[in-house]
Amino acid sequence: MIDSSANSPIVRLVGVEKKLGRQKVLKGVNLEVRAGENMVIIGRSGGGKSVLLKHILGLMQPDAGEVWFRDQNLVKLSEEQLVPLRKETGMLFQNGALFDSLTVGENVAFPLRERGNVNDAEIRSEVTRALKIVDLPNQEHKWPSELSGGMRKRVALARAAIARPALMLYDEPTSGLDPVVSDSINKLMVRLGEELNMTSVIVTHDMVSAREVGDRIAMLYEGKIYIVGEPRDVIESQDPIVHRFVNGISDASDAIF
Amino acid sequence: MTRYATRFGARFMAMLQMAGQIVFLLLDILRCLFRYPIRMSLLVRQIDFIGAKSVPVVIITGGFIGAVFAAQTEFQFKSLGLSSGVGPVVAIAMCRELGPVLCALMIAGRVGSAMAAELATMKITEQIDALRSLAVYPTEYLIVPRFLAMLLSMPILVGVAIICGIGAGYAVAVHVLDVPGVYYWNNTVKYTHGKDITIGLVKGFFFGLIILLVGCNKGLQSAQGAEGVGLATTEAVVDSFIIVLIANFFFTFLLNAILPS
Repeated sequence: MIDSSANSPIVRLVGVEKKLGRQKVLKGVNLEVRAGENMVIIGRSGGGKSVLLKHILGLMQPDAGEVWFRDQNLVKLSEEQLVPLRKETGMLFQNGALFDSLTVGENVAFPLRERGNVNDAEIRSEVTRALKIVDLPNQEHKWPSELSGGMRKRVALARAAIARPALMLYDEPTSGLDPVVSDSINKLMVRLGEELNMTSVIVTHDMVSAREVGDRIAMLYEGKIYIVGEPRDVIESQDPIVHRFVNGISDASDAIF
Repeated sequence: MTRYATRFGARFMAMLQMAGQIVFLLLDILRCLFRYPIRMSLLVRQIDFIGAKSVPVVIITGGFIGAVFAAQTEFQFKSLGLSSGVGPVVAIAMCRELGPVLCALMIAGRVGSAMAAELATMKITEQIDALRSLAVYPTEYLIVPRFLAMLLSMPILVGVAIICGIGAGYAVAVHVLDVPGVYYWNNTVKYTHGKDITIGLVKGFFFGLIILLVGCNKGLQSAQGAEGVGLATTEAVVDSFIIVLIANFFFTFLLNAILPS
């Protein structure tokens, strides 16, 4: 670990274990995310990255271990006690998870309306601004079902970020998008982090994105954090498992015949 | 034999589990009712969907059941010379049994299934998780408005079904089968009491509660995938209607003890 005293951790996972059905997905994850950094979590598809992310928001409860957000152990809190903590966090879901009974504008406005202390005119101008930032101006009146996958993701990003959370979680922000849109989302994540001083945790298997956005990279392997470090250290690592993942080399046993 | 026993046991356990989930859901709803302000716009939207948009099917259901019931009763009573007795028979049957039960059937099919499908879809597309991530408690946002709308709408819908049934029964008996209208109506009014209507409305209230709890529970507990949504929807209708039918049997005796005729 480098320089762990300078920034206090905003999120701390200690020995987190989770079983889904019969499969043990997380087998004792230890991870610290420092305030203000962009932490990228890489790992194979189906390796429990999304599950890990959901633990940070308390959307899932671990079978064992502790999940700390600032100075509170989420494991000890009830669903209702978690609600106020989630006002400080935002999450971008893999497929956007836009509310399909609301228009794009209403979706983006949702967090502000829930907060309740903003008037309609302010909400409208904030929504316009947020949609402009994600490069979807004047789309307020469309329905989520009318948007493409990439557009939906960008609307979801606007919705998650509009209330300026201290901690943003991204679940596969660039998967299934073309390289140009992916790049714009990467830039957006960096920009949000810098402008709003957000801490971000980004789950991805897109190495381009990881390289571009990450201040640190952690690799989840076989239900544990296998390596954590600066992007350069992880990408240039000579460890065979890390090397193979980073460079996209399949093992003989992974091949499909 | 053992396989049969295992399957029966699994079914029984699933039933107990569902009963437990439903009790917790109800307690959660009641807690949210007192803890959070009611979301008026969502409530109005649900009343529109559950209540107002159900009125046509309830009118058709109540009307035609009342009409055939009056006709069948008249065919049998005629030979006994009791044609003018058809009125109270139809009215009491509509109030006490046919109105609430058949109305519940229609609402389970129309509203219970829609609730289960909508909530299940929201669950599998992570919309419920999204709601939670945006610091909203799903029970309060999704279930409480449906709960209030259902409990407000159901007695009114049952009332509509009863009125339509009695009206259609009158129309068929008097205008089609030539039963003297004045006698028919006088007997109807004379032998139908407030408590008959009360029983129907009380039953309707509780049937609405059953449909809501089963529908929401099936939706929230849905398995992943399109198959999960389909199964949740089917089970919501079938289970809620079976529970309504069985509960109706006990309500009949219970309410008869409370409001003796």
